[in-house]
Amino acid sequence: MRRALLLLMCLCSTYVSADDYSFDMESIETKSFEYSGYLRSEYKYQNLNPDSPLYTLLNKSDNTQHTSLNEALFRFTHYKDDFKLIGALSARYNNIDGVGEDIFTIYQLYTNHKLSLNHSIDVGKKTLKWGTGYFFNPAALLDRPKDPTQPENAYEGYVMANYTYNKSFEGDLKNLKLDLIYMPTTSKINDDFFNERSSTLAMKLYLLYLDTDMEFIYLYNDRTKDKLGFTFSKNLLPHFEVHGEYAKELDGYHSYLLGLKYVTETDVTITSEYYYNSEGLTEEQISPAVKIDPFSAKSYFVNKFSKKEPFDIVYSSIYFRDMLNLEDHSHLDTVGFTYTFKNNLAIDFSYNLNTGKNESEFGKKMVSDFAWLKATWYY
Amino acid sequence: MKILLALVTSASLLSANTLLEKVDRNLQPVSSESYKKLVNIEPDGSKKEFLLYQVKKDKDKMVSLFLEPESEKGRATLRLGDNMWLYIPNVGKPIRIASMQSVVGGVFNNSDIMRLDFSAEYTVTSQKESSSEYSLTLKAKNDTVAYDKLIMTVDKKSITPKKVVCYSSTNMLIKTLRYKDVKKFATGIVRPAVVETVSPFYKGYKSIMVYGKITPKNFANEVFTLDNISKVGTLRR
Repeated sequence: MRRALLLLMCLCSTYVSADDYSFDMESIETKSFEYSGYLRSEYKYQNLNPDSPLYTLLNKSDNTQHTSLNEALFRFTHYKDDFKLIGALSARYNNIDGVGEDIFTIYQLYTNHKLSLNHSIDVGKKTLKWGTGYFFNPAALLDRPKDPTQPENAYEGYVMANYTYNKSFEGDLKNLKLDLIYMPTTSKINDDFFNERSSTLAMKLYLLYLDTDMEFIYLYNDRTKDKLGFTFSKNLLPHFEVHGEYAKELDGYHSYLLGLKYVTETDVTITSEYYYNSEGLTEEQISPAVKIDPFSAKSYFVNKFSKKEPFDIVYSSIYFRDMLNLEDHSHLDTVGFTYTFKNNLAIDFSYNLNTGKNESEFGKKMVSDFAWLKATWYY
Repeated sequence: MKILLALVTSASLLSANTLLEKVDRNLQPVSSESYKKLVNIEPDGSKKEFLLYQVKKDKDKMVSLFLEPESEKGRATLRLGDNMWLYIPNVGKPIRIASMQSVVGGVFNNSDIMRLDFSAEYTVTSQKESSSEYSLTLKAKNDTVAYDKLIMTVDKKSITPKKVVCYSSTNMLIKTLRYKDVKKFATGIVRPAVVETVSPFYKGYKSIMVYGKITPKNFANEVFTLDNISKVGTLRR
């Protein structure tokens, strides 16, 4: 009897069922049409800053503002022989302080044709996402600017034709990839890039040389100045990565980024980046402006500390992020918590605080601080 | 006499390293594709399952793709020697990661999921033998390997691991892997289908890795490049 009880206790304590050891072979069958995506709902409770020039200008009487953003993202791939049709479509409904707005965007819609083992061509609307930086990408010359406060968000690409040559080697040079891109613009196509008829030709050469990712970029446009770029990324140690980007417009601006990622023994990931843009705004230029474009100052220093599974809560993380404008020393500080439930629901809750002198970038924001809840259900 | 002893010791360790290579070959062919399921079991009995597709070539190339759950679907990792990258569909580009970083949470880390051959990462420093088992002590070849020392118990009959105990460089026990349910996957691949993992850092937690399919298959080196990390799903077709 005692043995039987002991056996029962053992069985109960492990919680392992026969199903855990079985393998459903149907789950690995392939389909010619595959899709995935998410439904996301965001809510911001914002406290307003009465000292903000924008607050006075908009004649605000409330001290708070409510914002909700809802997005449905649908991503698909249709496979047909050596062809693939790849798409990412987004439908959004935003409500800012009672004013609603619908937005439908095709983030990506392009065909991929694998010509051979080494050659392939993509035609259509595509997001390239060049660069090794996490918060900023000065060398992403053919991408729309990304939001450094949400660097992992999907965003819209440009219409282009992209030929790729990819080849592996043995030795110090392990991989070479060459991208050649043609991108036209008119007042209707790719107008965010250049709002008139123009042609862009770009080249990116990627090398994995001595265990270092490096990219050399050249961009020619028949209506604007040529640009060049360089990026790198390398693990100096298994838990210590460094990266950087440099971009220059010939006879024009230059911009660069230096960054690192360090994982401590206690599993805290530190991501730090310094960003500089020669055409960015100085403290003297920021000070008199009522409002400036986000992150348009000359230099920033951003640090993020994140810890996975704090207090032994699996599938969770906590983070602290400081975004410092080095020109006027104003900050945006964020402390947050993320958790992914077993039913594919992920939440991200954060508290965000703008600080700085009244005339500084973050000090003059109309919102002084806000609580932000993001809930994303993946399908 | 000392020279003779040294010669005998080095000869026996040489054969022990050959034995380790044999263990590797029995676990996985030089070039193959496989499907495996990971189950994280929490102390309260709740579970989370992950389904992975993996392609491996030689001693230093591996790419993995998450097929389930939906919250991880499309995530891919690429390992090329000591280089490791993670691709997240939303982020849209590969980022370099550390081998000890956890991709899925729970007891498994990247290195357990993206394991290359034991003989690529470890050297046998001592060997013991009983009537049914070998016991090998393995030392990491360099500090890029997640666990500094392994004690591996090998079944003499199938020449596959029965148990692997993982230690840090400070001799701290990190986790214990138990191999179970030996079965035939393909010609020449007879190996345990289940790997159970427990760790003193995750008291009450348990992780199970179940192999569903292992197929010997040759892949081009270009499969293991950043250009391909977002297209791993194409290899399944």
